[in-house]
Amino acid sequence: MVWFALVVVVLLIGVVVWVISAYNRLVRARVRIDEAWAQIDTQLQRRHDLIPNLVNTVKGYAAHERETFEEVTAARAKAISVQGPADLAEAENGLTQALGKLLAITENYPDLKADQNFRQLQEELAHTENMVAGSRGHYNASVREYDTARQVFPTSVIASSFNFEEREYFEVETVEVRQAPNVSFE
Amino acid sequence: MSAGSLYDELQRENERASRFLLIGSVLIAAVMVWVVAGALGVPVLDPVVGVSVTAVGTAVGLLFLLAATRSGPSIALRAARAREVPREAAPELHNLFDEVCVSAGIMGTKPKLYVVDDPAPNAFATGRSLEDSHVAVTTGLIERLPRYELRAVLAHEVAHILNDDIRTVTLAVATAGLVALLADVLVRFMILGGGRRGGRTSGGGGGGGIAQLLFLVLGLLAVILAPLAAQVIRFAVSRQREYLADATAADLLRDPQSMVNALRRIDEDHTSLRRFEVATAHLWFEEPNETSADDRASRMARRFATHPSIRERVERLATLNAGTVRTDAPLPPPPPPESRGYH
Repeated sequence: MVWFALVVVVLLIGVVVWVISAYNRLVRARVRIDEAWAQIDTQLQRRHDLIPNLVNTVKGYAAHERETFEEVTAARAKAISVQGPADLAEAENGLTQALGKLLAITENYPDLKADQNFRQLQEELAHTENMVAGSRGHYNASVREYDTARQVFPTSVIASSFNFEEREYFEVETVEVRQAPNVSFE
Repeated sequence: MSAGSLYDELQRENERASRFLLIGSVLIAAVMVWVVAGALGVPVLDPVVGVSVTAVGTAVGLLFLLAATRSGPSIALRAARAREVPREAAPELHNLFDEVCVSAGIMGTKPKLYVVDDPAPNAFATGRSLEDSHVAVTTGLIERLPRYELRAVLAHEVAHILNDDIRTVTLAVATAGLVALLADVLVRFMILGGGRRGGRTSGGGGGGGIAQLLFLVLGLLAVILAPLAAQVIRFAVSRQREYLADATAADLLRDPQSMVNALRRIDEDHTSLRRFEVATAHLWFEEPNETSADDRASRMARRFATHPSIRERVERLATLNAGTVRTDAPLPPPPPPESRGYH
């Protein structure tokens, strides 16, 4: 009888330890997502900060492309105002497209392309786009990891009883802002 | 087999190799301690004495390994003459490094970035943990690689940190050092102690003489074989890790093509590093001395290489990312000189 009680106690302790560790694993995964999201926020902020400067520089050489400037400015304003992964992704997509148009215009102005300030901005922009892409990749990887932990048995039992909610992925299209490599086909 | 499962397989192989290294080095150290104790005249053939002496000796050896692992990274950095590089001195390099770190989710614990003055394009990572990690690149690498290829190499080094290779490699180097030290003790003892012992055996029992002879033979064997075994372990471990780091880096940046291009470009370059220590050879991105020639010395060097051939690395990457990378396209041109803002 004493032995039986002892076995039960040991088993109970084992279960409690497992529950705690599974719970902590889920919490850690969720914290990682939040951190990754904060990082995306930082990078998007950086992108938004860069745009007025970029628009002003291009304006100096191509003042009459007003429509494009307005589009970029409006897309930026919208991206700043929305919240939540899905809406934000959509707004950022709009901004990405507007930026793509702006960059396409710059191709027609050789003086602009030679401008030292503009070239520096181009490296800044390429870097920022890569930072956004990198933080997004890490965010999505974190969500995938959390999701797997949430759905795999037996951790799924803990996830559903302690209300670990589903998290959204952050999906956006990307614009190619890399300086095009000069590949020659001789 | 899908790319994902191949990647998982590589990761499992990596963990297996880590265990193999740890168990192998403890075993080698234990055998060496046993032989050294025997040669010193301790009656190690007696089970109680033998086991306890060997256990204590091995524990001391492990403590030595632990201590060596602590100072290893700073020694490696000093041996390569790596200088920490501030952001103002190399803004683009730091930009690229940030892109790698943000993709890996380690912006909070970014490794320190160093530059080594050397025309050979190469790089290495070292450190004890993520919090205490260091990445160094040569000036040759910065000058010759286009932006995204340089980033791929940085990602390869960060992958070594993420895969916990830096600690394992430091441990491997320390093990090789410990075994060399023990072998050295044996050699000294056999040269110095052999003569004295001869005088003693004439007065002592015959059984002692046989044991002495046995340990003389075992000692000789250990002196020859142990360093070799330590090398084999080191190489087996470090070659596997290069494949995995290439794969992790390509996956982190979702840019396997740049990784392939960087490898091909570095393969075409035949500059050897000016300064490197044999002990730190497997820290580098590419084998530090040139081994691609077809003469006898190079073939021998390849057999004992710490790194797999670049061609093999490119092929494995292409298999992992089938259909998305080209291994025969012309390489993009190198960056214009002075464009990196670093000198």
